[in-house]
Amino acid sequence: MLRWLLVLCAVAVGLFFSRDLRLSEDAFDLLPGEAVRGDLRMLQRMGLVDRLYITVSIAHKEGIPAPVSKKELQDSVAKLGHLLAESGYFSYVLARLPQGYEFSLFANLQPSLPLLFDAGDLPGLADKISPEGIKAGLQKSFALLNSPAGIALKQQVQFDPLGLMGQVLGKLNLMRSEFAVQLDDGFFMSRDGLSCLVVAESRTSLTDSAQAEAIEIFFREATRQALVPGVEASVIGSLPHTLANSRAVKEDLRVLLPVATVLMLLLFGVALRNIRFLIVVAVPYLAAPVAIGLTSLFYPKLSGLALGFGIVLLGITVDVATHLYLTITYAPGNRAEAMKEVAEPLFYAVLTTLAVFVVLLFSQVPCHRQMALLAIFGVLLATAFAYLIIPMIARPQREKTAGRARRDWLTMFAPKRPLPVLVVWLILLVSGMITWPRLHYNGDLRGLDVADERVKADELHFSNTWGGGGEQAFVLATGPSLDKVLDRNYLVYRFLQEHEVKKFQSFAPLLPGPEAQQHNRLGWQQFWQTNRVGFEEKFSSAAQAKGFTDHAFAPFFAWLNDEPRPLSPSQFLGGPLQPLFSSMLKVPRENNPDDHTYLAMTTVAIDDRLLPELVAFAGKHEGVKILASKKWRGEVETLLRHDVLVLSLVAALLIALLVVYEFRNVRAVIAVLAPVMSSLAAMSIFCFLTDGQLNMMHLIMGLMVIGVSVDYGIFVVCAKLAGQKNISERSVSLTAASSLIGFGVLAFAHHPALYSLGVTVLIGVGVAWPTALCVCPAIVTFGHKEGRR
Amino acid sequence: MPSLSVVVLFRRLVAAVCGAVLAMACVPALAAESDELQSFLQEIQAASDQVRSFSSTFVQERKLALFTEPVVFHGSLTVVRPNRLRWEFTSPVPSVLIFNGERGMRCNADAPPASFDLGSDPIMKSVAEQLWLWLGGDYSRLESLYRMEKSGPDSLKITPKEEGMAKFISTITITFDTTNRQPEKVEIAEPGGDATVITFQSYVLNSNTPEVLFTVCGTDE
Repeated sequence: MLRWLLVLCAVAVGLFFSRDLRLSEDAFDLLPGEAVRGDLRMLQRMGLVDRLYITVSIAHKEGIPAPVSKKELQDSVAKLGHLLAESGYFSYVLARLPQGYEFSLFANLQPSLPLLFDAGDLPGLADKISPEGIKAGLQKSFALLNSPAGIALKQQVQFDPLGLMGQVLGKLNLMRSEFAVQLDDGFFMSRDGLSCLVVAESRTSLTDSAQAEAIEIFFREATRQALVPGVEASVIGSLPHTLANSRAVKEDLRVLLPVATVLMLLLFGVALRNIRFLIVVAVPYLAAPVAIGLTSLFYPKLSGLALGFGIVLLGITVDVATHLYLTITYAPGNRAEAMKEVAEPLFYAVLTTLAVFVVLLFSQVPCHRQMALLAIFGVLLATAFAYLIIPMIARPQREKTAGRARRDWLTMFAPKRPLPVLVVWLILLVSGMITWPRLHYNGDLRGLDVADERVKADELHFSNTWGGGGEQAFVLATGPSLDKVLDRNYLVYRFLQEHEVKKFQSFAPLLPGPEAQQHNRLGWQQFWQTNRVGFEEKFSSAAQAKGFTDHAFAPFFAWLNDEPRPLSPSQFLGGPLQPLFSSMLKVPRENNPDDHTYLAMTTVAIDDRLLPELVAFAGKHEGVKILASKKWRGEVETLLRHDVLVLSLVAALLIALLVVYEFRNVRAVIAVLAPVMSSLAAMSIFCFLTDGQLNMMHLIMGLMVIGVSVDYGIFVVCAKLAGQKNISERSVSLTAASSLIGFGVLAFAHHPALYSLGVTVLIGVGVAWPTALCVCPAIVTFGHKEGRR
Repeated sequence: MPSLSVVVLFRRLVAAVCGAVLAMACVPALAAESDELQSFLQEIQAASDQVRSFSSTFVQERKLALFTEPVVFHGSLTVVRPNRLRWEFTSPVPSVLIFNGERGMRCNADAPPASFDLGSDPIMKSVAEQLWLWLGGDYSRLESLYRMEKSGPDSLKITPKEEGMAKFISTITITFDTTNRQPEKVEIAEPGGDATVITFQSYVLNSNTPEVLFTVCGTDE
């Protein structure tokens, strides 16, 4: 009773300490390396991670568009944009540019236009003020003034008779994204006029399934209210992926959990016919609250994935409890003798399991480290709980016939002739060794994404409608002040210009930094100092010849005389292009003291030639970072491969050393390691025969398989060396069967992550189990006569 | 002799009574004016409904403070209602402007044809709205955006209500041909005193209009 009280008190204390634990669903916890995570956090701050791209389209039925006018489509989009913006779910919604934005933009920019003329624009300016340029410009202005558009453009012609502004306003095109959009009354429309694009940025993380569900429910209601019949909306971005994954996992678990439960009950009910075994299985999980409480002292914010898998990994210790239970129940001698007999194999089983997790503490992936710490606490506590609880519930039943019957059944697996067994095992190992170097580690987490048909169809519709889809790089200029960032952003723009890059999106030519503005001002002033006198004379005589009065272009000359007005970000962030600017320029948020960096983004379509050049450029310039999925996927893969290789080698070495230290006998050491070698070889062969790839789930569950496989080896070999019969085999069989049922059933899941998880356990444990029963004894007894060790 | 205050009171009373009488007299006058406008609009509309397409020549005279003298342009116009229009200057500077639904094209001698979309070109959208205002034929629907009054026996005077348009245009006076009831003259007065007068001549109604006129600028080739 006291022992139960002790365990329950510990569980209560664990629950108490766990109460402040905050769970994080941050996918970045799955990524290795500070640099990669830092880069991606910048992308998140730019709003790209939590952004929804909504295509509002006129629906088609049998290839024929519904009878919906452009105005109805645009009205639907305007209403949807309004509902999204008013909802509070989104920090940024871009459904259309403000009405009349073109005129207010011109009025806003006109006094500052000289600051937008850079060195590359001056030759064009010289052409415009040459005698031919003046003549052509005035002829154009004359025709324009007399055209039907003349009434609206009269003032503009007076300010700019030679079309100088057109030269720099052409740079506005660089504000467009790579998408094939055309502005129509401020709406972003497809070329066929059947779709509109809306962009919205969620305030909350869209990788969080609960928040994604809430946004989806709101979005469905908003589209129901806003869209007229015949208009439909589809979303791409992280939202549909999060939802598809979360729903696929739920659906898999809905089907597979009952199956696993029934099978587990059958196992315990038919194989053991003893309800006490349920407590044996539950012991490791009693340790979970305490382990979580202890882990929360080190990680106040724990990754949800680390928590989930950490608890799953605790399942390893079920073999400790099972072995203890069966030994006390069926071993000869009294309870104290049985516990003494089992102490050494259990100690080494726990030690080898801990070694695996200690090594995992050095992983570069935060989630792995958190998981390892949780598992270390869990394994230690579960072992302690097993020692406290199991002796109380286990009742010696040596005289029972049922036990004998089961013993007889298990002896069927004992190898009568070890040689053929060993040959088959060696073939397995050699095949594993051949296939292992050919496996490719896929660090791209998208490989674990569910392939949802609806999501794929929406993404296809998006790329068919808007184009894009090519490889992109995000060039981020960062800095402690806005001026610094704007200057760095302009450097990026100049680099792209010099390298004749055509496809990029940047606001730098419209909002250069102070350095560039000063440089452009000097260039402008020098240009006019050289050309002004001759120009005025030529212009006046050409204007008179065309029938213009002397004062017709007074506003133009006044503008030339005026000091250019400096361009400031507030002109844009509060101006008509605010929605576009705010998606490309981020200022620190006032309510976040940790957020003191300014960010400006340029999006560039990249190829194999440009990316290395951009990376080299960023290397030379402080505060410029290149984020490209191509680049960081490579980095993630390299770091994870390094993790897998180094950590696996160190773990293998540690386990081998512990086993060697314990057994000091080559044959025994090989026998102990036989199950783990078999499971690794089998996993390698399986992965090679399927897609030739290893992923993160293989790695995490591979650790579990290694942990339990080594334990199988230790239990069987210790028992064999001690001359004990069948208890270890039974213990191994029970824990293997429960693992196969609990996790192996996930091999039938549709979700790629669950499938990988399940198949790893199914293959690993599925091969380690018969290896422990057949190969371990064969290695120990091979070449010896029966009865010798 | 009545006191001064009584005199003042009496005069105010008379003024008030007269005012009320005059006001009452004006109500039928305004109503009559409105009726006349409505009847005129209906007449124009009825004539317009009979015309699916037309072409004409025109003379445009622009009097701008920017020019030392009025500038006269000659040209031709082709309209197929509801949404196709070709505006062509033949001299002194040849150019063509085409509206075809939501799209359009402009051409001049010095540059290749430039296509535009009304949704993305606010200037051309405004030009199209103006041209359809004069030439579209559906004047009754304009009451929400413009104040309209009858001016003379055959003219309609239009004043923009919207502030944005009022910055560019003070009034537009459209005079209709007495027989075919198509626009004969359009006078545009701008706020600074600038003015434009366009006179349409040689109307051809409901003729077969080649589609190519609305897809290609130079149709002689």
